[in-house]
Amino acid sequence: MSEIQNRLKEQATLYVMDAMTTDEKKAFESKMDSDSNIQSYVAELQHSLSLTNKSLSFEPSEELLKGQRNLLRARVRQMDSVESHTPILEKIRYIFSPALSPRQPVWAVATYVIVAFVVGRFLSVNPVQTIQPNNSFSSAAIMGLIQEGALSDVEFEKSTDDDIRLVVETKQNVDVSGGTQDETIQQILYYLLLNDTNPGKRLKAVKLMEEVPVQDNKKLVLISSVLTETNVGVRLKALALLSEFETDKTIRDASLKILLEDENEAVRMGALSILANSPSADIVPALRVVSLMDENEFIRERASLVMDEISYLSEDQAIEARP
Amino acid sequence: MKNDIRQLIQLAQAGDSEAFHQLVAMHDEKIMILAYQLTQNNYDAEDLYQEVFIKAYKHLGKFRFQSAFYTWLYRITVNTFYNMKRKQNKMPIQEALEDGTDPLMQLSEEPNDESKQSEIIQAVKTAADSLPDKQRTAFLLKHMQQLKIREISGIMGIGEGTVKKYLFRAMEKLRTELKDYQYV
Repeated sequence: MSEIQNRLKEQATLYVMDAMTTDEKKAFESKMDSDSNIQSYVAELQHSLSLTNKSLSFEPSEELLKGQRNLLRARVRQMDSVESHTPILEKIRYIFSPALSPRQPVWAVATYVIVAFVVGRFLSVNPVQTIQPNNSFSSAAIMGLIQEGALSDVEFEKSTDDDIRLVVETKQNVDVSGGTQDETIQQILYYLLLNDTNPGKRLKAVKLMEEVPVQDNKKLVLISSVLTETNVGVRLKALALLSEFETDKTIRDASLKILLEDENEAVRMGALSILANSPSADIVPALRVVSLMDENEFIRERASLVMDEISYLSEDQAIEARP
Repeated sequence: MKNDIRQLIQLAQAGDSEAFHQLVAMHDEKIMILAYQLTQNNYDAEDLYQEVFIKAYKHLGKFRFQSAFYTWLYRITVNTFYNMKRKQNKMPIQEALEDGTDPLMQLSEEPNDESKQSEIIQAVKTAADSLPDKQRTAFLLKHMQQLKIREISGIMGIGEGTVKKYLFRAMEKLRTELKDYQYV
């Protein structure tokens, strides 16, 4: 084997990896036919490749991909929303930044003033008009604005147990009233929770979502929120609402990620409580890590307890399964 | 298909985020596979997946159709992985999870076929992990993703000769490390 030159070894590598042209392949095969050292070297390479095939192959589940796509959608929406929220004055300042620097000649300043006057006329906003519910702005139109990420501002006017009134600012103000059963209200609340830049509004939205019936959309929005939200209060509330759902794989995966990665102890504790409600063997590796590594003693102890509970459960199941 | 992708890219470049998400759905399986093979753990693979598509969304306007779209995505994946690895001080938490084995399943005392197989899987992962990043990337792109040398050269931004050298060195190392292992 040692007699094989590096040049031949390189060719053998390209041969087993199917990276040769037809002519190169033929030439190499004829060399290989007459040399047993090359043959066994090629066999060893092929053996290594077959081991790596089995060990390194990975097939992501459709559920994993869907979860990642949802998260990506939420992040893209958030990015777009932040971009569309850049105050117009800042944009103008950015465009005119060279002009606004000191030491400009008089003629240039005069030109900028004229340009600003003309631009100002175009940018002047029409007086805000308040439209009563169910008037010219339909629910469908608001849904359309939500899908486009074009709601520029939403204000909570009044919220009682039965009725939520929101003022949606588009080109004109629109009042939207309804209960938490109302799909438009639900969509606006979801939109606010995932997109609004004001944490106070996001908190209010997630609190109002408490009254929204348990449903898949609500679950996905809450998962996106707990994974991407920057405000601890909002994250905690979203996690509390998520704990009301039956713990499925999506919720379990999100809770595991939070338990391992969230910087806030209360949030990690909330995630651990969700996992504790639905103990399963596949969370044991993560729990073991948490029981050893989490900086909070209480979380470490709780993780150990949940792990013990899971091992008792699996022992019970094994006993029951015996004939 | 090619025309569909081209049209979707153009729509996404014009600001249609739905077109972008369609492009994601068409390509993300391969990106997730590569992300997993590069990082060797679910958590980092998911982070890498997200970073790749966020970067693609931000920089889609710069895509000039000079390469295939998937090649462009692969290039972002590889570069983002290198950056990630550079920044990452690997936490013990991640190393423990890389193992991925369930402690409850390790109760049996006798080594059986399954434990032999997991030993081989571990040996392959360790051998692959010990390769320098560029050799491992070239190997994964060629052997696991079935790309051509020319494509790998474009993705990694290196010459085709260098790709071949990386493949040779990677294979030589894997051969030495794995020759004593046999699947049962």
